Amino acid sequence: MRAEVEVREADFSVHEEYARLRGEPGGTGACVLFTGLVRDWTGAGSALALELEHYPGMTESSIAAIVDEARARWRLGAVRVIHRVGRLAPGEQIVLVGVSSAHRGDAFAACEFIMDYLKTRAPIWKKEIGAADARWVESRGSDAHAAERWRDSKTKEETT
Amino acid sequence: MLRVLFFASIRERLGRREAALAFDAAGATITGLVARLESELPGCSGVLLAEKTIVAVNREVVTRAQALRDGDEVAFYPPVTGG
Repeated sequence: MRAEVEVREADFSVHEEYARLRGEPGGTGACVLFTGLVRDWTGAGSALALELEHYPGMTESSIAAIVDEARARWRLGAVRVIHRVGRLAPGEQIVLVGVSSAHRGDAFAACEFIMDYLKTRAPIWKKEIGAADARWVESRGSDAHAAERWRDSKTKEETT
Repeated sequence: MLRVLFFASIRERLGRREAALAFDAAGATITGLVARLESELPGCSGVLLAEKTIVAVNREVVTRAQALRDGDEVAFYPPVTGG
């Protein structure tokens, strides 16, 4: 069976991932796909690349644990997470989170939950490579806050 | 043996990805391990026990009080910025 979670250098096709999330006609009523892209953080066209480092093994297991948590909260069909590492240029795809479900509410919520937790828990680090210098991206309080607000959110049972 | 891994800005600051230390039951906590690393590796001081540094043992995030066992893999890394 194909792994739900993959950390890799290779790019991904949203079209292919969507086709797999849809699966066979039947129980799936909603698919939500999120993709994250490399921005030009300088706003002046002088960003060369992002370098993404990670902790092989722990990155995969920590994201898998987040997916398990999402499955415990919402009724989900297929889940797919791909996070790219290595050197990526502005405009390239970094991350994909795809969730299918019978209904859109569960798919929307689970997709955002997985992304919010991934940003604060998965051991991945970005370094911005500019024309003149390179620096590690600082973690942001707003990301921690986004993950925090799920702590008291309703569980799967309470929302149905 | 203990296998110790460093990532991102901590890896760069120490100039190494990993270190191997003989297991010593006497100082077998994160705090004890850091004291040994600080005496053996230049540049460690103040980095590994910084409040924002995250410590994982066998790929699970732990507190500074975590007890260590022979064969553990210990990782020190800065706050994560993926996604």
